[in-house]
Amino acid sequence: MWNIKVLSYVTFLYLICFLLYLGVLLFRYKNLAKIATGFTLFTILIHSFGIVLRWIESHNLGIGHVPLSNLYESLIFFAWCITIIYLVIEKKYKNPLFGAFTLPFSFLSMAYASFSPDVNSRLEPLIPALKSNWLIIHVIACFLAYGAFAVACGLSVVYLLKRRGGSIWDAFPSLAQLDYLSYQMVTFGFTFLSIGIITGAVWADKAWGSYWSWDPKETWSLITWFVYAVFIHCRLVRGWREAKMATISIIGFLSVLFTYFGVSFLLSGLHSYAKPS
Amino acid sequence: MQRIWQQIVDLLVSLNNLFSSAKLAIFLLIILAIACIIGTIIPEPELCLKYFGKFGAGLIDALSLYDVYHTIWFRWLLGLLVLNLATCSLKRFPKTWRLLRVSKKAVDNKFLQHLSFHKRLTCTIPFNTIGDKLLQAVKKDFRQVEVEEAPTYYILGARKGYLSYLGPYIIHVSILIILIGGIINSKLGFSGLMIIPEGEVSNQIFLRSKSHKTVRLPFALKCNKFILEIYESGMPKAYISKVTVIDGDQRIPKTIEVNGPLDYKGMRFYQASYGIAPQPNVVFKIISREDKKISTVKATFNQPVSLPDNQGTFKVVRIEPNLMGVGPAFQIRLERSKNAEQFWVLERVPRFDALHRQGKYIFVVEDYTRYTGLQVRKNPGIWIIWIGCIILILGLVISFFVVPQRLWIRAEPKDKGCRVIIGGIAHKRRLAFSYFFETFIKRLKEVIDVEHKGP
Repeated sequence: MWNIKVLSYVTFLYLICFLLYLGVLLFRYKNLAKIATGFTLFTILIHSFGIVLRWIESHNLGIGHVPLSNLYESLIFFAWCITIIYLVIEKKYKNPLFGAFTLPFSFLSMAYASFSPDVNSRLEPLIPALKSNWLIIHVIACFLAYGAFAVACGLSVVYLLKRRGGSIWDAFPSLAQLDYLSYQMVTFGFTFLSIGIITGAVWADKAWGSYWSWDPKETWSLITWFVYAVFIHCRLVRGWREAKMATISIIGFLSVLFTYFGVSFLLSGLHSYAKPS
Repeated sequence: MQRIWQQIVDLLVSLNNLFSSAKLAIFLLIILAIACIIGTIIPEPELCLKYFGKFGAGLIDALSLYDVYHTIWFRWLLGLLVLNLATCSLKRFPKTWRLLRVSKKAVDNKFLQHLSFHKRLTCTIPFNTIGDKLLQAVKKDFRQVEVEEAPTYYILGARKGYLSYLGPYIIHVSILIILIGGIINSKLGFSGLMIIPEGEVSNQIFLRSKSHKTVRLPFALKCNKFILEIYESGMPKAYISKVTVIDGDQRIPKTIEVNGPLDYKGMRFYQASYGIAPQPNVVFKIISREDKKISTVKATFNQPVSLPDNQGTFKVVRIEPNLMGVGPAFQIRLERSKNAEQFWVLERVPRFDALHRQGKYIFVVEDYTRYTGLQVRKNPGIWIIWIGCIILILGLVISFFVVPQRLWIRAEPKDKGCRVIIGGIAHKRRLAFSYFFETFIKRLKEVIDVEHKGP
């Protein structure tokens, strides 16, 4: 199974990406920033290659499915989403300093997928309930949302650290910009989370005969939705800004993490595919 | 008397203020989130008794925390949220509507200079022809354009993306639509289970409620065959029911599988479960120990069948869907001359009988009649829910990704040419707007022949 090997090398590439960005943050060499960006582009290329390879290999085994169906595959895709969203932001805002705060999420997600004994990386045939095109849209929407929330959380952490002062933070965007950017990420994530919940409901309606059954995963995604709804209302209607917003954004991401991992490990429900095997 | 009246009015006003406040919305969202969290973490009643003691478990039961989502108070919370959402939206809407309608403002130089995006240009084009050129340039990007002309000045106002301000109302309406769909489903719909053994016909549904009621359908389903496909690894690949819908004189063959439900007359049938039919026909492979001859024999439940050598009979006397965790098991009573013995035959362990029992014949289960368990749902409000969902997504996109932008251009005659000031506002996505503003100025400069750049 070449894909698993390729993807485990990608984990190390992410570690290097992170270290390069950490170097950029500490030493501020312009050329180092270029190297870091180039290396991350290279990593995401190999990462995409690994995912496509897994897809092809699953077809060669005669159990072909889009690699978005178990915990391992979802972690791989999660890391991919975070990195893509980060690269888009870096290009748009021409600031390579966030890398040190977002790429660790990619690295940890890959490392957890590749090295934890709890995560089964084997290619296995799909159980009947997972054979649906809605699954693909559902998972992609959810993970784009999770990725955006992860980036928003990283920005909020930078915000809170920068507020405490220190010259290391000078080159970052201003507090107001950080605040604004994290809000932008949350609106993006909120939209995709809504799409993810809705496509999940459509799929559940076809597979289990119930569009909403208060399954723990469903309920926790709703809780996450509530938290970010509070975030958006506090900002738009109550006019909250800055530290309070950053705190809610971090709470929101904790809720995302619980929806993703906590529910699978601690609570039982229909989303058993995401359970460690 | 008047004072009491006044007090009632005051109370109503303050109630209205409470219900139309965003604070209440935020409070309710937080409470709902906490209620949902409680709903997911409260363990089974038996475990609660262990963890929280008798008093704690009693308290949990009194508040019906085992099933938070269906309690009265959870519904009240949702109801309050709906009320709050509606009053909030109604209260704010007129203001938004005015914003959408009115666009005129005193656009003088001072106003433009105070905008976050502004630029001064001087050009050689005479004042009487500049209006058309400006209008052309602006119309490329903005559909809504207003013009004000006077002998000494020319003002052009343009805007787009103002639909974005309606986004939140669209979202709130869509949430109301989704909840209405949910209420319709829970009041007018039902959900139940239908059990049909292979070869049999049924129109009876056991409702999924505490009353254990049954419903009879105006048509019936016949289960022709239940098929279980398995991967080589032993994992299930597909569960398929081949059924025939019997409706009056019509006979319609259909297939129901996981992820492929059957829709018929407003009802949906899902593949939910399967098992051994209550009175199954079991097909055995009977292998003779002496000459290894194999014969296939079909036995109906509890009816004696002769053995291959016609010297005795056997019958299936008991069925267990899962005997001690090893899967389906059939108990056989074998009678030869005057001896009788009883033993189990296991479907998943075909060699069990050969290893554990002596005797002339070895029994192996080959096949048996199964029943298919179909979940039946009637959800009359489901389309309302899906329409609400589509509107919700549209509302989110409009609110967050459509950017309201305004642009003003004021031209005044100066010498033989004109002095032009351009100003713009974007309430969101300033960075994107600043990029747009720059390219717009660049294009405008080409159109109107700029001779000298202002500050």
